Amino acid sequence: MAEDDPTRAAREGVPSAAEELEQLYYAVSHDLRAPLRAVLNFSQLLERPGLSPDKAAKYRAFVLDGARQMEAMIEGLLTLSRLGRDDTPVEPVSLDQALDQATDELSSELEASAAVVERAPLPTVLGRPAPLARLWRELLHNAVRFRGPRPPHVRVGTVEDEGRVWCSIRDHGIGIDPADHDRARQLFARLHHRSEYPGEGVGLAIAQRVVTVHGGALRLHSPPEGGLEVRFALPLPASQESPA
Amino acid sequence: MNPVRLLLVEDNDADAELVLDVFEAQKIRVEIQRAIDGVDALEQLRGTDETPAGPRPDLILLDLNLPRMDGRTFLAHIKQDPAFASIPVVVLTSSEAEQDIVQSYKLAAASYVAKPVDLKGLHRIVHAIDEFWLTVVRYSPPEGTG
Repeated sequence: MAEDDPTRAAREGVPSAAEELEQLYYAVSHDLRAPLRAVLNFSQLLERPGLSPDKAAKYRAFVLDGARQMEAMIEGLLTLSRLGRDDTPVEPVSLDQALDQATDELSSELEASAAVVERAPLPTVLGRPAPLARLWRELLHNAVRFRGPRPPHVRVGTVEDEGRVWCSIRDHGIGIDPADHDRARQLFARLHHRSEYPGEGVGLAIAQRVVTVHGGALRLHSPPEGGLEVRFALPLPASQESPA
Repeated sequence: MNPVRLLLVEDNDADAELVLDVFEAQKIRVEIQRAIDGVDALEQLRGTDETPAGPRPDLILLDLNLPRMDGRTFLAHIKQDPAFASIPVVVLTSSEAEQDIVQSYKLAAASYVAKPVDLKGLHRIVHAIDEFWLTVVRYSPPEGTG
């Protein structure tokens, strides 16, 4: 399913297939090389005669971290690739149920962070159930992960914008500078140091991909009072479409 | 003669350790400070309310893809600042994308070097940096001196 209005797609920042391929090429050629370099070179350096025990321990940690990062990045690439190849037919999917599944899967993370998720009723859209649950999971996970000093408070609902119904997930976390909105959606993009916020920068790229393959649009908003709001619009079943 | 001062702007601990290890292994006489992103590098150069500016580096080795402030933005900042515009910046990055190369030179990078995957390649690059940037080149004193 592709975005059927190219003008609107470009305006809403929906990447074209060529742009997606270019981003993927950049991510693989640049970002995957860093952990590969660590694994290759520190394995070699561990062979160096007379290496102090402290340095050996440090180098072993670099090798392990590099291998783990590569595994997570390859997993992210596989997820993106599967989403692009999923040709199962679309069906009406309740976004409420998709969100239920996501909150179930993240229950221990939500509990551990004392997160509050406030929900308003969500629409039924035309799509595929598993990727749409994944979309919520990634967005909810980000809202909890990039929290501020207080426990996360997440509001999920709908907003109307330019005559369309958008689903909205809003948090009061650390937010994203509007100048970084485009960068934040790119695969393996890291806006923070790994030591502060661990992860490989795949969550928002996956969310973006789910929305794109469903022919929808995703926007980021940085409210002046802080936090982040992610909005996305997906095609509605024919019976719910408003007349043009 | 004082050793050349080098500012290494690199967020990845493993990559920074590799660069430091190779400089050390080649017994190159150089003082290396490290900044972990563009914001940290600017703070080290200019100082903050809490911390004074660090010693002015003679040469900057800069990674491009950094959290908080990336290498391109940092490069644009220092090249517009008369106090630091004359410091040569060698971009040292994993990216071989043409757009990054073109943009870095437009932003007045002195040279653009792709990080090699293997240690031998890094030894070659550090040796070349030593031969040219740390041995042959004469540096501009800070503006207003000399």
